[in-house]
Amino acid sequence: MGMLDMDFLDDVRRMNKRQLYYQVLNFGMIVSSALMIWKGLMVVTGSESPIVVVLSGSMEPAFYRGDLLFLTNYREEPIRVGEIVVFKIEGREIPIVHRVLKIHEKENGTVRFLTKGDNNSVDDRGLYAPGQLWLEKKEVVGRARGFSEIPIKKTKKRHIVNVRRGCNMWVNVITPTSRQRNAEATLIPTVART
Amino acid sequence: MNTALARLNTIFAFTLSVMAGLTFLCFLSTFFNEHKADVSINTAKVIVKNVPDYSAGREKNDLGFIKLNQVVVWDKIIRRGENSILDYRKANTKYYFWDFGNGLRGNKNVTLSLSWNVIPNAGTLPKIMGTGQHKIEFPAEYSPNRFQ
Repeated sequence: MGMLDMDFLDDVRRMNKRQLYYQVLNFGMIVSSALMIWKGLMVVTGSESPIVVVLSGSMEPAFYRGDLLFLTNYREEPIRVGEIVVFKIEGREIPIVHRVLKIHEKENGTVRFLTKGDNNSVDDRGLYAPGQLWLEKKEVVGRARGFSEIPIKKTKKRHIVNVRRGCNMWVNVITPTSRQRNAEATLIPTVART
Repeated sequence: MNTALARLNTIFAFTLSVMAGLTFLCFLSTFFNEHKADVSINTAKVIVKNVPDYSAGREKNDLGFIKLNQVVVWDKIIRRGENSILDYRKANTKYYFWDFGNGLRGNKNVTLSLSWNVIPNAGTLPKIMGTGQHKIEFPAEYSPNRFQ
């Protein structure tokens, strides 16, 4: 490894000032275009963090740790039961990815809903802020629209990767009138966090 | 030019682009799938019970003047390769209805439907509602028997 570092430093030493500036500017360009893409995605999807990483196993077998979720958060799209939402509770730094279990929508459009992790046996009331029974729209970071698993991390479980995906189903009812694991999600580019 | 670092860099970049390509192919392989299916649901016995709940607040009209309620009463995870033809008889609900207002008793307009969500290796997360619904009415009286 020491050899590599030396080679690299030699390269830098051989450059003249112009080349050095060019390298620095080039690096700046890469960082700023990454930031632009991220911000652009935020505008297009309407979500404050369009791509999140699943950090825990409470949505297994749908999402495992490390899987990527693509989120949108369009205002006009109503939240419905069965959807997977990412929400951020006041006082909790890390957003949570769970499925919507109940929703109650009022005449004036305000929505209250309750979530539950597929792998948890009880709903999320224990995870919400103390005394909070329902989530509201302002706490939603986004709804999961796209998904990609990360193949690298699964070397140990390789043999079950192919069978673990399936489908989750639920029965909706529409009327017109403990210790839990919580699936936490984090923003990918730490650059965009500031 | 041909330092170990440059080669590592090339290999890494190539691996990344191959994986991106593969992920895109994964996405394409499931994107055009037709997930619709026929569903038939029936209910046998519908009971409403008056249950004291000490955990919730006392404000009864907390959720008042509701336009739409959606509640999950049953769910199941089917993994790839498992039998996906569901034939259940005499199944109970997995989750119960909880009425925080006064909308449940005597509600004549309750629709049961089955929806599902397919999780691909990579791709979209479609939410599909099965064709076929079942409409039930809730009884106008609370059940007098506790264990019915």
